[in-house]
Amino acid sequence: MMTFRKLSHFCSGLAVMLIVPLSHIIGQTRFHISDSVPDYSRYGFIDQCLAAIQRLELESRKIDTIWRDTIRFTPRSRGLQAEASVQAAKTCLRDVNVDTLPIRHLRIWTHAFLTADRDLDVDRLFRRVKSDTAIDSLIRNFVTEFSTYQHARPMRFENLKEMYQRGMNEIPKHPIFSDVWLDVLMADATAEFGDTIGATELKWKVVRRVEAFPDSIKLNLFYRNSLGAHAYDMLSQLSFEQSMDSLSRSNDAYLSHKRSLAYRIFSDSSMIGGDITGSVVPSPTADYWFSWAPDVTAGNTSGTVKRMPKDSVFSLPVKDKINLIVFLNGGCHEQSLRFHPSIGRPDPGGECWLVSSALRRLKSKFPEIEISVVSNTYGNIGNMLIRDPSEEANILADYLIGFYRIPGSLYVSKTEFIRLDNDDKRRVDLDGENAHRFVIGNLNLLAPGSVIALDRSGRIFYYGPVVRESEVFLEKRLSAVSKRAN
Amino acid sequence: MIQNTDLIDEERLISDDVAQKVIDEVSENCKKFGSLSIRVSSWWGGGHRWSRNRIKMNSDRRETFVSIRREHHRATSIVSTNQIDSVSLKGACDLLEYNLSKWGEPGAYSMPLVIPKFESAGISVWDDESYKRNITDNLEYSAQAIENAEEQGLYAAGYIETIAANVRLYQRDSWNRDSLQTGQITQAQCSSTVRHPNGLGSGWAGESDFGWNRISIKSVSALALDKCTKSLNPVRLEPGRYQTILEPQAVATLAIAMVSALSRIENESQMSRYTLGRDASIGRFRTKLGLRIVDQRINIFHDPNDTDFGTHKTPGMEHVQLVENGVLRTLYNSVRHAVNELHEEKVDLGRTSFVMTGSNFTEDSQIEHMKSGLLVSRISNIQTIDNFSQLLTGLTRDGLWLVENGKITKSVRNLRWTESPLFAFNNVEMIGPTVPVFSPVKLREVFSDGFQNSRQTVAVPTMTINDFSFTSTTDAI
Amino acid sequence: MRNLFSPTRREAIKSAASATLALEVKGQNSWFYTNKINSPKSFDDAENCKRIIKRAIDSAMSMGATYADARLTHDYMLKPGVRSPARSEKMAFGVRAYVNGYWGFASSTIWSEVEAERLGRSAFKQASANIFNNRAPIIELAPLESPVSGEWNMPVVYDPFEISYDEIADFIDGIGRFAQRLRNVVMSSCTAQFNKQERIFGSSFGQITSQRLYRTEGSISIMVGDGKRNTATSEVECLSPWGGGFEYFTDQPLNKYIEEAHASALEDLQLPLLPPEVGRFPVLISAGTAASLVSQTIGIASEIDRAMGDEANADGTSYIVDPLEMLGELKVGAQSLSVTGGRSKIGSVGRVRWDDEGVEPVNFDLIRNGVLQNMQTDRQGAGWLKDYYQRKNQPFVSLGCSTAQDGIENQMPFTSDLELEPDKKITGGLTEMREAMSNCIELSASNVWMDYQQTTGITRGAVYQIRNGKRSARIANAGMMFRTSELWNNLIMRGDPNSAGMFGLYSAKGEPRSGTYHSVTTPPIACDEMSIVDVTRKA
Repeated sequence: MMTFRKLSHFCSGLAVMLIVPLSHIIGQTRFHISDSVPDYSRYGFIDQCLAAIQRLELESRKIDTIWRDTIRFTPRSRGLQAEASVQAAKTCLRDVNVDTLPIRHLRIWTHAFLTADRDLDVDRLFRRVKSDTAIDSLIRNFVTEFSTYQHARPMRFENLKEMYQRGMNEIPKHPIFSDVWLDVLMADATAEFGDTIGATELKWKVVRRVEAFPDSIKLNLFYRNSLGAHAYDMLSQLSFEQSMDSLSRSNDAYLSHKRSLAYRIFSDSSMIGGDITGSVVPSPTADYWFSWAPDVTAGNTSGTVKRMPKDSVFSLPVKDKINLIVFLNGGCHEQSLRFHPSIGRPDPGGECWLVSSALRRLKSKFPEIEISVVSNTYGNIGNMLIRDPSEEANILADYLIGFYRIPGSLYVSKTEFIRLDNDDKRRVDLDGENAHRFVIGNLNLLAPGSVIALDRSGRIFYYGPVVRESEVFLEKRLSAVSKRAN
Repeated sequence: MIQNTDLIDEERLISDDVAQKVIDEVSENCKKFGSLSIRVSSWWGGGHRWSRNRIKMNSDRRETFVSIRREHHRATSIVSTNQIDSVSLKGACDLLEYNLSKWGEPGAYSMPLVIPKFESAGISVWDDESYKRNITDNLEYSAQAIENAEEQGLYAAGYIETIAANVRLYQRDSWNRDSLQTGQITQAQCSSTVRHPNGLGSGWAGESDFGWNRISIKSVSALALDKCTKSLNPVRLEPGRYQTILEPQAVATLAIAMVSALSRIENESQMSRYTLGRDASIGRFRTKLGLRIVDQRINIFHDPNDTDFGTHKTPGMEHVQLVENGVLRTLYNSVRHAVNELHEEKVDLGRTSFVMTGSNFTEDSQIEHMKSGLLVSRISNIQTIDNFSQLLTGLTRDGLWLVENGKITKSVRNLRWTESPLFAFNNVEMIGPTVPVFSPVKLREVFSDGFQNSRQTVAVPTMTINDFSFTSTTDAI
Repeated sequence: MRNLFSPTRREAIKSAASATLALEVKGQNSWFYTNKINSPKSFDDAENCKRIIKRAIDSAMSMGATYADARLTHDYMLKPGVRSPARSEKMAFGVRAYVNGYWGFASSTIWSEVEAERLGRSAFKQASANIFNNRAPIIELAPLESPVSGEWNMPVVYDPFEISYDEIADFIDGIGRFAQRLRNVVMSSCTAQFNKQERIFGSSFGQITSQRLYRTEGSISIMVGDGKRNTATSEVECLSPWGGGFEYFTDQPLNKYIEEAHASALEDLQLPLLPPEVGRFPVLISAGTAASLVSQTIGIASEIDRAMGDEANADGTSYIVDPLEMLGELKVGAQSLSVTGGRSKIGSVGRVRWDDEGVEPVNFDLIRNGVLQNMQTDRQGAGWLKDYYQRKNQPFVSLGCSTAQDGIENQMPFTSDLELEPDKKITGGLTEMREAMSNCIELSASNVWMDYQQTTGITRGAVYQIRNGKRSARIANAGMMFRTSELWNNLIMRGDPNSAGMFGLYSAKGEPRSGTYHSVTTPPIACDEMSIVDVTRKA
């Protein structure tokens, strides 16, 4: 059963054994950090390369936090950081031939291939995959193919449609849930391209099939984390109107509705145990506080900004009102889109400057809501070097209230600017004190640009993004909650 | 030619000032964001060891230990050293920051370090006598032990150790809240084994306590000698189920195995030793809290204010009833799990020291009441066979006797046993008075995983257990 | 909190410190700072290290010690982990003095001349305290005829502390990914740990040796499931502690081993699970389990201090109760059992050029043709056996088994690297032996739990039923219960040299307790008529 090291192996290893020369080590001090670089030519198998590629991508993302006042920002410069992973992938793939690689390996190699060459002809990758007809491989390869086409440039909807047809024809009904994946994938794909071939029907199809599963599958951990999670997501979207109806009654009704949905999918209503709907949030802290002058109404571009001293009396959330607490901290200070090197397109997470227009629209539809923007000083705004937190706070106020016309108050907490020894010695952390204070239950640190919505009793009924389609959902929630008596 | 007066010629432990300087220096070198925990500890141990009727070695060992842990952006890094000079500390901090910058994901959330509610807690289980003790002070005891054994043609082996340790733990979380905890302990231990030169019998005794004056080395060596002479020329006995009197040292081994499994995280997150089953509505496992797990005469508690056991009043640590009339009352929890996952205010920290209450049947009266059974002096070489039922196996050691009609009649060859403490403590016939047993803290583990483990007083009674399961014989003596 | 010292003493120390040294560096006081002034930066500051060692020895000798030795150790540890890397470094200084037959030992963490002086003095005092009240005969130390000074580095291809940490991390992460994508794998884990110890030894013979040693270890385990709650776990037995660098990972065909382990786990899932049939059966034992058995029943049992009763109050004694009478006489096992010891084998984790007493270890026969030939000794341990050596006209020397975990702990005789001689007359390993045995029980990946005299033991691990030379079923909760003599006397088959594997094992003992590593090289073995029991069964 076990493999064990053969003596002969080590005898053959003898030939390459060298004594590390002493001079190599002289000069080593305590906790010496080795400055040698990885030798990719020693990487023996693809998984090591994938590990390296992921590590390098992670490092390249860190450029988001490097504070550049001298380097002119260009989106391209971020892409350049990914060059290291491209090089690693190319080195690793130097001896790999797509045409002779075992089919079962192709599935995990695609990421490396796409990293090495983002304009790769993905059809070539799958030419051989398509010839494999084993059920297991078909399903696995299908999933891979889907994500590859999705990430390849340009994404080819025609390929997806063709894949779907092929999958439905070739993959017979399978006793386990694997084939439901086809519907899930297709529903995703169609939703992305508009409901052209019936995403809603597909979603219902997935939900009904999943609901019929026996408990033994529903309680399976793998199911819960994969297919079940997708199905729950779909059911939530399909039952959105009912959810809003329950939300218009009370948080409890809303939660119990969600639990009933969870029960349908997972046979276990506690699957949404981490939902923080109904929780009370702490008050944000602020060192600087800004608001519209009382005589100026939102949307009036000639309004003046009133600045309050640090010791002003304020209290959040504002009582008996629907409150939106908006986080525009950290990463939002770099007025830019993040470039995601692995998928070769902008990361939609970095769109915090769209928030202001969404807030203005919401405020005009629901004039009674109270909007509070929470931010922290960060050491720079865009490419602008900041030396003093109060200076940054004032600029932020000018920027957010004066320029972007945020229809609410601004609370800025002071973050000390820390100079680090690593990177370009000017790395600053994104997350300020408030971001940590608002970690509630299983809620992660709120991403810059996200919002917490509180009902009139000060309890959470929504948390998450506020831009693009999220704005529509938040609007529906606001409308539901504003129907409540209190 | 020897001047023994100056044996404490230097300080044996790192001083508070120096420890604080180390903390300040590390704290300065580390970044503000993320959590930081610095543990500065030092220990001194003086050992005196004899075997085969001669002194084997005296030793004096001192060590310092600095462990720095940082968490930020979902990455954790731990760097430790035993050097407290600026070069080493700076090197350690640089490496720590390097690791975090290398592996952290900016913006990623990591479970924050939670500072315990009790601020500036300090544990002090200290005895100046033990701290100042010199190795030469022990010589008379070993000499006496050796002499007594020699007189009877037996071999004595033994170990006397006094240790002192201190720790200073500074923690700072992402909110910049910080806390400082300190601890200092001493411990004196003595144990002795007396053996027949040809291995025909063996006896052991041991005592440990925080204070030198609270253990009696003379009685330890006398008891070991007595047990050895009584255990000579053992007879073979068939393995099987016997009514068995477990002396406190043996009871303690079983009880420690039982108490150390009382972890709430373990029992609520998976099928474990005190788990009933999964409850879908709460998404966790239901435990046996509130249910009877052992005989209703058994009470187990930990009381930090009980000076009888050398524990001094400790802020934030209260009297904890683990088992009350056989009913499970407490499962230990960590601060982190309690606050972050369960949103609870109250935390019951794990404790390795505990007291099991007894009654008034002395060992002699238990022997008198026994019609036929075994008397076990000590158990050794414990291994876990099955986690869920806590099934353990081990051997009897240094004294196993047959009791017939209220009298010890024969010395018996050692047996292997296979038994679960839960089964044993549900089959209790008689319980004796509670006495402290030999349970020294391991020197290198002092303060290694939190303050609660700094003291290991265990006091348990002698017990008569029905149907204790002995599974095979062994040749070892 | 109470002060550590009585106020008066504390005040005295404070004022003394402030008067002399406090101004020099940030007010660090007393002992800790004073002794750091001359602290060498590292091992490479060789002259300074030698000076310190010499100072410690001189300090002990000038007070009247018969012999003294001193050791500086610098331990490096690296535990890679993608999100939780850990590193530690520890420096230690241990001084041992021998005064008229008694040992004293003192150690601390400071490498300086002032501390050297103190440790030398302290070690002498610890030792000399005994001479007044001890009547037992003095055990002679085996002589060290011509001690050799020098420098030796364990040869490694990649020093894990010198190559890119990223490369190590990618490698470890890669292994996990590789295992994870194999069919039906539910869970996989891969860990690694790298250790390096630099040690300088000096003794009152004028000997100075410096060595750089490496230890690399890791673990890979794979759990496969069949989707119906049945799982089988398989450990890849190729990363046990080893004397070398990162090449331990890169030079082994780990992928192949993982695939083999995976195949074996899948095979396990297919096999029926039977309750144990209690009785006596021929037993086939995998190399890894055989290594544990050799280490426990032969290695640890033949440590001289255990046999002489030094460990009686701690870990236990040995079935070799009287070495002088038993050497050359005691039949430990069958004619085919031969075990050799030594510390020079490439890749063995106990490999050194000098042991911790400055002795160059020799290769020796521990058991030849089933008969006990020698004990594992240090210099004092050899002293116990002087009569035997003279009787047999063998040289009266230590075999070089003296080892210490680090400078903080004192030296003790520990098991050296052992090798159970494979069968050179046959060809084949576990598979061939299975076929040859036809019907038997197979033990694999088992723990060995011994008693405190190494006489009886029990195994717990994976157990298979072999029918017609193939694994036909898994047996739940079974174990082999054995007497040491019975086990080795029933030895009927050993694998060929190619089937032998080298396994690093840890053993600890002593008061205070410390531990070291040694390697055991052994082929798979088979023993007849061994007793199989249900380990979980109560009486």
